[in-house]
Amino acid sequence: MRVLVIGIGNPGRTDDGLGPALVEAVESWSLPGIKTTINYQLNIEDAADVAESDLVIFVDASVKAGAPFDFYQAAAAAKSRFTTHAMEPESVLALCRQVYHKEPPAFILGVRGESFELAEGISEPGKKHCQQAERFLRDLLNSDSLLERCRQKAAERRS
Amino acid sequence: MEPYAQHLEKHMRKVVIDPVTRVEGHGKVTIVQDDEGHIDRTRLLIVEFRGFERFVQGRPYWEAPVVVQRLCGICPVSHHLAAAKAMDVVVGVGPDGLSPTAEKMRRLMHYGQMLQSHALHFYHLCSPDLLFGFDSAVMKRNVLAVAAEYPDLAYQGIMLRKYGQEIIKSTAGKKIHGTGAIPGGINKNLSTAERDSHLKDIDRIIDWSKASVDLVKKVHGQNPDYFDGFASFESNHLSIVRKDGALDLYHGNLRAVDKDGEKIFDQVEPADYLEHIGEEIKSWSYMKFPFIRKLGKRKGWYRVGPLARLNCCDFIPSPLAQKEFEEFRAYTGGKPNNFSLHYHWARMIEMLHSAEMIKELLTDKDLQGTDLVRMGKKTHEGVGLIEAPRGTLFHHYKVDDRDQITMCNLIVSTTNNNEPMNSAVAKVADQHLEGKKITEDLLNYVEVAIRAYDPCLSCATHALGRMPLKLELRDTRGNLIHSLIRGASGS
Repeated sequence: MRVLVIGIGNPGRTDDGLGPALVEAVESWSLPGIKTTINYQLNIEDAADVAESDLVIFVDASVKAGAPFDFYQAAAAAKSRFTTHAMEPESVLALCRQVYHKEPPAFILGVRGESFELAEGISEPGKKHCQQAERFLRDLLNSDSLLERCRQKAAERRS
Repeated sequence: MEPYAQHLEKHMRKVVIDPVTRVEGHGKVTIVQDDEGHIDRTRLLIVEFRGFERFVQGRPYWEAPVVVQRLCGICPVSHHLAAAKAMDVVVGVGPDGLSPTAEKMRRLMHYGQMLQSHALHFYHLCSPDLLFGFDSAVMKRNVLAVAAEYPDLAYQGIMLRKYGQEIIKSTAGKKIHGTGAIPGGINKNLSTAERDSHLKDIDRIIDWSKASVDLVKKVHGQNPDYFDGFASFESNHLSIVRKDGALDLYHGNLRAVDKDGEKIFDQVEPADYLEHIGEEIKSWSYMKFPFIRKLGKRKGWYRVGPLARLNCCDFIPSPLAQKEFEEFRAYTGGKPNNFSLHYHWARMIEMLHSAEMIKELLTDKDLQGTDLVRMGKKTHEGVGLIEAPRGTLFHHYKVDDRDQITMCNLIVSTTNNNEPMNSAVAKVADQHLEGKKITEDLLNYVEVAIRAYDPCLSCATHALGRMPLKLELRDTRGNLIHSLIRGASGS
């Protein structure tokens, strides 16, 4: 199974760096079959990488997630915003479906961010959320049946 | 050419477009209506994180090219290179002292950035406007609708953007917080494997870029009067140009022309920018208002970006783009083109030029050279200018004896286009806002006008769950008359 873990965010904006920090941790584990990428924002070209994957996990800071994090399955959907150059995970999935006719199962790990000021380093509350999210992600990615485990965890957190 | 007044007058109604966030950065449009329901003036407010200039102070100068990338998640490469160019001066190399390998690697990085940025704007943001019409339903106003009806176009957009990103990765080292450009040079050359990988696809990239120019011309040709008249106004234009007057997106001296093409100044060295460019601060805006000193604050504002660059330069030094440039200039009889929506045309010509330049550079053996960094006699001040995708970008630093940055002044592209975007919104509002009801058409038209300038509202961070768009009509007593909200889902 080809697994893609995408970290999104700007490490120069405190908790916006939660996504990159977590995906750097994933990189350090050197897990077989896990491909990682980090960028400031999602964009249209990410649809091409998603199309080449069997399972995708987006890791991002979130201002609406409950602490320490949310984990849920993402569904392809069009989301338009005012003259912003970035895309939402759901829109990337929708674009992948439209252009490549593929829609791999995808999940979002939204880690609660508390501060988005112009500074390096994650806030103290953000660090606690990050540690818990990292443990969750490590357990998840080391599980034998990853897709089933993702669905199970998403269902558990929803309930 | 009159700038807008600095305070609201009594008995005016206000229309406010306000994405309610400071995380992603936000724009807000206020349209002031008189008692008869006619447009009096407009104001576009875009939050700019001025604190960044202080954030850089106290850091060692060599960190600047990396740190400044945190300013913007959309064009980090432009900030990276502008800061590196300023620090070239600080380390005594100056703008002309880089090794051929270093300069060409930086140019390759920059053309990769131009290609991907222009492709993103055209396919992701602009193509729904052009293909479906300015008053199309909101759910069609995104790249997904384009993908549904024009899948080949969407695929081209994705692959153009991806190609530019791969060029950046090869030259800057990585997609995020690249370290390719350093004071005095570059920290890597291009391997032959990287070169061959990029060469494999470049002809297709050039073909798609040419097709993108053709698409803009085709759309324009379907209704040229409407296209030309939409949000158009006369203005001055500013960009850097090469010493022989050629378009040069990486390096050159400043040139400004007026609405008729007369030169206001020419070949102004980057270090002398403050002698010619002033920055006005207005109480109602977070953004500065740059102006040409010679013309004063009221008449000295100017446009930057693709339209301004093609109005300032004498020619484009690549054959396919030059041919398109000749057609572009001929359309306005050789005079500056002042049509706002022709930014799209100019932008695609620049994308074609960038693709051609990438091919030229990839076949240059200097990119495999090993003379990467040069040093000279250190100075305490440096200015770096570059033509970022959205327009001229100014980076100015002072450094003390301990190598720490003591002053940083940035004029970013969107700031340079501040007054022009106000003018574009005013033109649209004048044509489409009457009465007390806000229509979705009005919101669309305002967006289309602003979008032509490709402003960067994202300010380097995003976080899930933000960036709705809110439009309100209020009277001067604060009473809500009508409102329209566009949520993040597009509903």
